Amino acid sequence: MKLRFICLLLCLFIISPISIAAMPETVHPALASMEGVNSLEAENQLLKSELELAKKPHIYFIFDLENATISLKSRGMEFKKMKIEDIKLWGRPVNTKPYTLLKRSSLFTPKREKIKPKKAEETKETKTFEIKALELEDMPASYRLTLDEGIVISVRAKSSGVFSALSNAVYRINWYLSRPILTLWNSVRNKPFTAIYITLTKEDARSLYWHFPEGTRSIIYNPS
Amino acid sequence: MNTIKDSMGKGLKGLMTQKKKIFLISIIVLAVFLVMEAAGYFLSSRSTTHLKTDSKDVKVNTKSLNVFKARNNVLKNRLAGLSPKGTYIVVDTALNRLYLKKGDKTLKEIVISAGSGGILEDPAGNREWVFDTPRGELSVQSKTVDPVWIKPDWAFIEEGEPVPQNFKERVEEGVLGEYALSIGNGYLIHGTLYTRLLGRNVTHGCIRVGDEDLKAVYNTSTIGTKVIIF
Repeated sequence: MKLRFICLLLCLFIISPISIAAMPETVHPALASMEGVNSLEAENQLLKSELELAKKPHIYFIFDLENATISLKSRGMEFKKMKIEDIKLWGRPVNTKPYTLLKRSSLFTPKREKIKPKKAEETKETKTFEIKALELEDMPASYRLTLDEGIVISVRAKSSGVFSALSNAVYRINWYLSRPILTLWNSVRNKPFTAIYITLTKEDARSLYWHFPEGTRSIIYNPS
Repeated sequence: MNTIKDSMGKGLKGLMTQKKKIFLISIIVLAVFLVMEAAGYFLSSRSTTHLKTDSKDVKVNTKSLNVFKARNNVLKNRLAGLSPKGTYIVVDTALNRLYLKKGDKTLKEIVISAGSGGILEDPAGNREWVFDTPRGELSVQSKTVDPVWIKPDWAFIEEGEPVPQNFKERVEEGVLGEYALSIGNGYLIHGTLYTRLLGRNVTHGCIRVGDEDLKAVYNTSTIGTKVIIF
């Protein structure tokens, strides 16, 4: 009898961990609900902020870092969607609220063509037409967007050759080395600092520069 | 001979001490840099954890989940309610495309010409014009058949001609195509003589459309039709 009891206990001892391991992983219902509420709360915040922007007759952007997309929107409708190839985040997490673009800066800023008024003789004689315009191809593919509340978004085009790969690598090393210094500097000045590094395709990077002039508002959505 | 050796020895010593100094300075600079980096990393991680713990204390149950869902649905409906009713026009100034749309559906895609972004200064005064197509949400304010162009001052200045005082001298026929739709502030959606330039940014801010497409835009839109330009 005693031996049987010991055998039964042994069997239970061996079987129980196996059965527990074989059981599907379950999350405590309260925890699952909490996650659900958090995600709904984040969505609620996004919708509230978007509604604030959509009420006005302007173009706005949503940087959805969770789904790695940038959407150009107006009145709640999406007109352009760009895929973010890579994201790096640094510093203070951003709130889901509208931010204003204060400054776009790049190494080679596109310059507007100054039109020279024609002279009377030129008007009659010249028949050739030369296009002097600022077009999408003239936009930079690597630049920095400075938003209010110390948010800096560095945009880089995806590498498409040895030179651009090298340039991106150097930029990324510089980004990683300079972020802590900038954090420290802003901390001393008691100012918030958030750095976001995003990689887009060359076309999308240029397109974002074109459609995102100073003064445009945007929401950065990063619930995680 | 000894004096030469002495001076050489002194020189070498000096060089060594200088090298040592440079080495020492480099080490100090590197150490300061590393300390700053570490402090930056620390501050950054601290701000992240600080904000992450700053979440609201929400009592979780199925009821509250449903309340959140209902609240979000209300907001989604309010957002959807802001979109234009009926047909509307969307203009992408980067791609030089105009889209006639109804809801999410694109009825027609048209190649256009948008603003060149050029700047013209008035040599005689302090005036300056920037030839950008305005962005944002505008609307069709008037529709015209066989429009005439009332040439503004910049058109004369650009051509190197004197700005006329007589209104009649500003009127030019046959350059805007068969139709024109005003979208406010003197900006028009109109036809063009330069069809080969469609698809390029060449205008003074207006939106140029080819003849056939212009007819479709004219017929589809009414006064008040929304024009979203980006």
